[in-house]
Amino acid sequence: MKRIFTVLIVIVVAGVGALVVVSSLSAGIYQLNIEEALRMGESLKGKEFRVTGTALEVKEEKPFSYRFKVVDANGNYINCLFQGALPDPFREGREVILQGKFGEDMLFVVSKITVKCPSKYEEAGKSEMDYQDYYEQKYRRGHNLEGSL
Amino acid sequence: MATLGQILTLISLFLSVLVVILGFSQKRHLLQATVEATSALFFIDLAASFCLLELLVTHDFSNRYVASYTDSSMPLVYILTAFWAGEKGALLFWALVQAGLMMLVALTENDAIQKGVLAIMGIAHSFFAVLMVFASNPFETFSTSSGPPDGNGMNPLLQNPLMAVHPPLQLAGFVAWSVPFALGMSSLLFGAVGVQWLKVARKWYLLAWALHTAGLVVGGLWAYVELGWGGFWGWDPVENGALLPWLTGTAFIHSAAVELRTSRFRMWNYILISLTFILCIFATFLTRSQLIHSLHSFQNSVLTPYFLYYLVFLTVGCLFVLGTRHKYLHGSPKLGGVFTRQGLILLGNILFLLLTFVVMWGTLLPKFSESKMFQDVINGMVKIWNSLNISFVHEITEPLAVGPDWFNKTTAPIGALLLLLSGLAPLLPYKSTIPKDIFRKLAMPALLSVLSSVVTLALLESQTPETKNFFIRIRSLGFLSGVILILFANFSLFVALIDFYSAIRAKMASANIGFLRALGNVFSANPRRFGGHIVHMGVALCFLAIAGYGQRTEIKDAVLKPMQSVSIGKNDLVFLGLRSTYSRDGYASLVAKILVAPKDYTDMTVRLDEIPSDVQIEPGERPFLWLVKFKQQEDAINFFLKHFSAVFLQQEMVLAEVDRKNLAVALAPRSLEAINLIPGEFHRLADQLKQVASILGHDRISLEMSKGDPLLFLRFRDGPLFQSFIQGFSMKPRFLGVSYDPSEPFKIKVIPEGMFKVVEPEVRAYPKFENPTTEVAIDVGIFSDLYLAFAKAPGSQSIMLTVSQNPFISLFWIGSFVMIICVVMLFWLGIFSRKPQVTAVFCGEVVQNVGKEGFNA
Repeated sequence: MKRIFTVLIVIVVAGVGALVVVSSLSAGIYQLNIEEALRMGESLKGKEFRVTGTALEVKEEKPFSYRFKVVDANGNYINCLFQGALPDPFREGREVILQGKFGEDMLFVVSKITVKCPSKYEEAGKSEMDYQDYYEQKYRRGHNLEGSL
Repeated sequence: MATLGQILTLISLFLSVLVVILGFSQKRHLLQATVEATSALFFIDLAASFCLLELLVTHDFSNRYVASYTDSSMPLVYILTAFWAGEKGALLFWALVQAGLMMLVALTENDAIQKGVLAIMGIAHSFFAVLMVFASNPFETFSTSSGPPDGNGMNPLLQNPLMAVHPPLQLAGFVAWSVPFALGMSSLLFGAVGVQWLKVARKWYLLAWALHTAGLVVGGLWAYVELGWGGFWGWDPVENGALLPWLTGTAFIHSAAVELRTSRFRMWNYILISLTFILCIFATFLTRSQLIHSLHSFQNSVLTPYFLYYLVFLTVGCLFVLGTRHKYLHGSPKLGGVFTRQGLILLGNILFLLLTFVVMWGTLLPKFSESKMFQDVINGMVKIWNSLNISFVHEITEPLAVGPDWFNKTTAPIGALLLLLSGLAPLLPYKSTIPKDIFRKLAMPALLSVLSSVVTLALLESQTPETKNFFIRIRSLGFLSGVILILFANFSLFVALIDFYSAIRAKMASANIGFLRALGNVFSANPRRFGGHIVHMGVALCFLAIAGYGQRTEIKDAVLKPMQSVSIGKNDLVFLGLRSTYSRDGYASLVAKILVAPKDYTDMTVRLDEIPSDVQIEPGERPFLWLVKFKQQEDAINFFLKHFSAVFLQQEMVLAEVDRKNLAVALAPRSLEAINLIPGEFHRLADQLKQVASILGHDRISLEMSKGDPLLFLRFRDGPLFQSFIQGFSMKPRFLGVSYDPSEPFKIKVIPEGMFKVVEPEVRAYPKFENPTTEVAIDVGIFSDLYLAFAKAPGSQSIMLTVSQNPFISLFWIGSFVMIICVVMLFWLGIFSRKPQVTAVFCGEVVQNVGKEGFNA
């Protein structure tokens, strides 16, 4: 009797475990770099995926609608469109994780932006001189007034 | 001070190694020395902590840690919390708490227990001391310069009272699991506590659980009030990491209760407590390493390899000890059956481990799926699955990640089953199978829970604007699971309540005392049982909140211009306008004023003072809006201008100069700091006036901007217009909003003050941090919260509002509070209760009930 229960429990647990794994595969979102995304191209159409790169050439089309490029170190890029409020830390030149789908003309329609925070709260990896410069730069910021109308 | 600190950390390392050596030696006469070394260790860590606090408070920016996390303008409280805000300080804090707990163990436990436990906790302490001395010392100074003139300051997101207490609670929770772990391991290694280690460990694992839970909950509350995405749990890798040991720890608490009663699950408990402790270290590893991309991660930590070695050491060590001692670990045979309390607890344990697996799998999938080998193994499984023809799954070719949706869907059914078990298990006896009266016992809570679920659902419905019929909605999986959760939560709640109630009634009748005294007596007579009930009630409340949260209404990204509105649930939300201020705490904020007006508002009285008698006032198209009708357009315009400057201009601008002769004024912003800190803010102010000028006509008002200075010059066509404008600056605003539409030249729309609530979400800008931070506004209600956050596009007056109505969310905080307080109380009772009768085997001798002076006497 006890054996049967043990076997039964093991089977059920294994079954549920398999379900978890399978569901994660069908719900999972591809995490690609720009080169991979470009290579897979058309086959990605309509499929949600994530891509990591640097945001450049950010242009505001109209309030809360932005076009920009996400670029990798080798100069590969994808044109992106994002509609909504950009997350607080989003800046040109920042490394971002974008989630979205390819739309018309391989335009990447971004639904979610995660900005990888630069090592700003940690001085690790910065030499002391860098650190001084960094500090001064930051401190100078914000004290120049806006231009005229 | 920094040199002293460095020396102290070195001594701390030396002392913790000494404690390990002394503790591991089987010599009885070294016991006193072990305890003394532990005390010394604690005081050394305490002294090192004071050194760091001193450096922080005196703004010694020659210290790297102080320069990285504080600056001279920060409020004192956050300067103090900088102690644990960064990695290096957190290490020292960790060591301090570890030493403090060792000290507490030495003070409260008897001699037989102390030695082995101190030795094993000493290993944990040594690890952190090694990190401080060799890798990441909080007392490190700049080697070539005397440091910057001012520090970096703290990330504004962390400058929040909740974030001040979340890290120490979370860390202390992790550290506290080391006490039951050390007790378990020392019982295996030295036989010092024997098989009854759990009796001693009970209060310690309750403490660890309470701290750990508090850490998670405060973290969730912080995310809810500070991060602005509307929820309290985002399934971020770091959150998941902290959840893993909590799941195994909670499983452990339940199976430990079984072992205490029936001596079963012995080996199982050793495995669970080891797993919990290892997962605590794993959680820290996940935070510090860049293993999985997460917003929380501290980048490029040098500690990663150390943690990895430590994890391997712990895992191998635990496996070795369990492997060599497993033959002593046979519990009493015979599981009474599945339908006993211990059977259900076993089932619950399996579910907890399943949850642990789910969370771990989902968290590590992005890392695993990078490897080709993993992909091949999984694709092999996928082929088998696809051949079963249940559903088709694509093979994986690239790294995969799962989102919060997957986590929610996968954990919800397991969570619901656990919730049901938390109601069922207390009804069953420990060993024997189903008693005959089980149905009688079940009937009452089942009936009551169905009734109260109906009430709960009705309340929930009243908080959501759904128009669809209940029976149509129940077909959707999301709503159905909400209903099931509500049913199970009520069931669990009533099982506990009824047991409490009957015990209290019996006590009241037998001892002839009042309700409150009976309650106290009942609880203190059997704290384990009724403590369990209270915690389960807290859990049930949390699940009610989760069910309610699942039915929340959300409006994402509504773009609003001033005086435009959006409706959610039973309310209209009107965007009144923006306002910028500068706080003495060193930041500027852009505040959006949002009016919350109930749609069904019917109070028709409105008082408008100082209005000529020939003016008509009538309700507008919405309950919050009123129309003031004039006979002449010029009167309307004068009225509008006066109130416009009263409502919108006077709080942000001052009259720098008034030229009565030429009917001109110069306006300056009230706060230069706010103008400097918020990008585009001066343009916004100018834009506001520009719009008014264009609405009223440029022939009436002309606007010019000074070159160089932040000044605006206004010139008015006629005297009355000029007078109205000036008057508005010195009068108290009588409205919340006022607007004028040139196409209806005789009407002014106004929103009267004092009838409705105004909530004010903010966006803050700090001088030293480029990124503005969103400050959420939450209108907390008994049955639901209204949650608002906004973003502003530069160079426009409009905002993007994210708003959600979250039903029942307060129950989550209440439920968690109940759980934590109850468990802390149980810990307290454990500390001050009489020592359990422990049979100890020490150095091969059997010692009965060893007292504090046991061996010396």
